[in-house]
Amino acid sequence: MHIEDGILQPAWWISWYAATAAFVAPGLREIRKRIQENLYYKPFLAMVGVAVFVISSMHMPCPVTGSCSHPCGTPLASIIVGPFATVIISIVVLFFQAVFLGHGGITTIGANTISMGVCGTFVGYGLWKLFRYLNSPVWLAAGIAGLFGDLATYLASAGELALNLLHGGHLPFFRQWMVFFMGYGPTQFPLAIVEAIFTAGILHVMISRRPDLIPDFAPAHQAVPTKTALDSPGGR
Amino acid sequence: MMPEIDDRKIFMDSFVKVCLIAFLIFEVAIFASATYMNIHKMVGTGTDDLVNDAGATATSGSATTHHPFINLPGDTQLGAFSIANFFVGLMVGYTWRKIYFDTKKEDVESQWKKSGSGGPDRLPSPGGVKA
Repeated sequence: MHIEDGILQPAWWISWYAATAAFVAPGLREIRKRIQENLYYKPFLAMVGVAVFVISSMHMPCPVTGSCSHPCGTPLASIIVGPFATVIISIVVLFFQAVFLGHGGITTIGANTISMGVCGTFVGYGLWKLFRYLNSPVWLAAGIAGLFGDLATYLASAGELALNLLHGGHLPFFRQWMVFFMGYGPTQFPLAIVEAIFTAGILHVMISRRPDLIPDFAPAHQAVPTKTALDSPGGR
Repeated sequence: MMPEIDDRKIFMDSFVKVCLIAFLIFEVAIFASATYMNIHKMVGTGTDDLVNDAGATATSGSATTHHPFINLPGDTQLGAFSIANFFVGLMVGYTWRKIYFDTKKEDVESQWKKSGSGGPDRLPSPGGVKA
């Protein structure tokens, strides 16, 4: 899903940058709010950023199709650090991947953020919330979030490429979209299943060890270090 | 007073075992897949590159070349990433212990203070030693 420089027309990559900009302020606000609530959040956010960088750079071979692709990590990140914070993480991750790995591009950070950081994040997070609302077990809700968050990322990326050919392309939009998606799909589907498994596994371990770091599971009685508590006289 | 710590458990506790098993599973899967792909003459190109080439060809008539914005020549890239991996690994490991230390047991910092010395190297690992 890492679209490179020189593929999208300027009107499109500028539009994707503008769309991404709309998520920056809510993302920073979410990070600031959750740091105030829990001091563990800041180092935790940094670690989740590292995890998203590694997961979305980790090319896994698919022997059926003979090509490699990577999971995204953003559905998992959205559940544990919040969806808007995950958009900020995605921007940082995509910048470093573009600059140092040649993975993606500078002009396409906006487009790639919309696919991985927004579509993958919010589809995954929305499904997680929906399945938890329906009292699904954690492993099922997290697995569904990982699976469909991953596929949504690649659908969005294919859609961006198809939109780029909206004027001057040889195929109707929907067919062009599916042509691009089928470039990803056969390799991506097994990896989406892998993403579902590790999203479920990691979340299960996290909830058993540090439920206070995940808002839906933080026990009301458990004291977590807050900035207010530390600032107050007699605070830790 | 720090609890008695068995150094063997610190070195090879349940956390390290799980990490080693996961690491081996991933590596075996990658090497087995790569061997199969080699035997069947599969190139193993990334789907990102394939679709980017298709997109570039459809847009401008030719596939773009893929290279980093800052291109490190030859093995300098290996050196840069080895150093980055080393220090990032240290930072992640250090932060990991602080975050995932079992909060039901005594707080990490209070254990350091109580012991009067020591530090992270003498702390019981989350899955290894009962405090």
